[in-house]
Amino acid sequence: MQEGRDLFNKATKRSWLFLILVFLLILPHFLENEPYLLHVFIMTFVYISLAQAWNLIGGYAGQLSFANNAFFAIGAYTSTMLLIHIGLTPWLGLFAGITIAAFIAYLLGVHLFHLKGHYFAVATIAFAEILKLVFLNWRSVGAAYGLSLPLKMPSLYFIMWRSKIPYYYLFLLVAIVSTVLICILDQSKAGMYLRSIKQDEEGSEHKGIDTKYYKLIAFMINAGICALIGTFYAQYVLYIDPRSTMDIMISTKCILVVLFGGLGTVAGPVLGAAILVPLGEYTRIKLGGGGQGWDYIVYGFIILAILMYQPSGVYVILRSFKTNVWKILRG
Amino acid sequence: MSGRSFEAKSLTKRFGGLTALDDVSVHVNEAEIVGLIGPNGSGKTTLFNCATGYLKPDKGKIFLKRIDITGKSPHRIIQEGVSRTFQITRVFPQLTVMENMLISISHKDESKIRAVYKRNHGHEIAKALELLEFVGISELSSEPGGELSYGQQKLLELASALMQDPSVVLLDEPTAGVNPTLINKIIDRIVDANRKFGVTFFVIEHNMDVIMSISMRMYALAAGRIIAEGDPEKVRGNPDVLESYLGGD
Repeated sequence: MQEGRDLFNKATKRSWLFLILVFLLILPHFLENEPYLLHVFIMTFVYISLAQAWNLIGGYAGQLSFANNAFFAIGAYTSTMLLIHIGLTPWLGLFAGITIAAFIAYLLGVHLFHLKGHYFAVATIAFAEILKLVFLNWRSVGAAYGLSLPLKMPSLYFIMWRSKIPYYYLFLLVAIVSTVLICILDQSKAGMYLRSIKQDEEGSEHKGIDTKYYKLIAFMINAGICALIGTFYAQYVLYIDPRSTMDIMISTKCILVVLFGGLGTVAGPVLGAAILVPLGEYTRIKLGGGGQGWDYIVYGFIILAILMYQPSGVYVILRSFKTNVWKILRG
Repeated sequence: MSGRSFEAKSLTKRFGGLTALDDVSVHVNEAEIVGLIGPNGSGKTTLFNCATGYLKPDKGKIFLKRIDITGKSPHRIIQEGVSRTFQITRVFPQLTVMENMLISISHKDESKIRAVYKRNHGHEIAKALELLEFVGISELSSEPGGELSYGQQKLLELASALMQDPSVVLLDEPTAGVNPTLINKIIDRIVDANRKFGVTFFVIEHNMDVIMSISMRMYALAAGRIIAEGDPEKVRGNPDVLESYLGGD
């Protein structure tokens, strides 16, 4: 009986996922004349990936990192500089970005992981802010003016298109890939070790787990995913500057999305981004006008409500909702 | 006489002006259960902390099966074959009982790259179940560790300490805070593990009845020094031991 129900649940889950995927695949053809809506979808995919990356270091390993924006910018700047100066395809540029970001994450991790909790958070904020200051004053990377990407023939080779639709598919793919990646890690031994480290690092060390190694791996994968999205993002907006790519709100938003959706779950970041990003865009249009910030105020209230009602996030709310419906249906 | 599993040679550890361990030498032979007694603050847990690399001794050496492990980091020492349980249980509350067992596998020959995408082997899960059955909590294997009673957590810690086929298991007060019925069960499991699987134990315990009934040899520690060692009955009867427990001068 129990088995039958589980199978049924798994099957329905799969068919739901399949339906959503088909919907997302055919959707752009109805939105050809709605570039703004496409943009909202693209940004949602961007934040699904960025939040999944943060989920790994924050949700699983329990390290409150605020360096997502820094890694994101490193990816964006690396591939863009390579494209401007030697005309290198961003497909190769992104590997350079990932490598540099992962290497910096390694250096940061080695030196900062002995800091616990808030201290680690503050140190990563400091790193991201210093990086921003450097880029704001560094002439050869455009300083505060930023960099405009050279326009190339629209092609897959240069990841440049006139329409938003190809970008839509690109970012959809990235969101799926990063989610699958986290899914694999969630089920792996390393995923289990990271969860144990989050609960009791010293205790994990006393189980013979090389806690430093697994935290470093998590941080480096986190950095790599951020850099990858940074590259694609630069190709999408065609202009990058320190203020837009190194804004600390990028990191904050990643964390909010994960907290909102469900910390340390695979579905959490997906749900969180799918709800918060469109909501943020909507409130910015409806309440904006007078400047930025309204979306953040709305975010703030939502987060408060979630923390008061169900600190484990929307994912848990939905899951218990499902169980309740199941109970009612069975009488 | 079988070989030595664990040995500490003239270990000294100071905290500022306080000498917590003063030239302490102890050893545990293979398949032996050795007791360690002493009043509060005599340095018993400090000895364990030095043995697992959590504290660095100021002087002296620690050997595991005659291999020098002094100064290695805790996870390395655990990987070499030292398992440890804590005075106050240290079960991972949000991991299931099974996961608590699986993180305790031997990490010595584990590929850390493959761990990123691989799950546990079937034989590791089977072994975990076997040990959970051995301590009698296999029906709880999918419960979160935090849902277990304190006594069950003690049993889980004991079972997880056996997961990696350790050279020696350091038990820090295995029966502290546990009701009498369960105390008997825990003693039973320790003795059983020793007889059936030849597991070596080094046990800190305040409960005299417990330590007398399980240990084959015993050390008594007071103010950082070994004041008596050998046959449990003799150690208990030693005047220095009586004095340090009942309070002399």
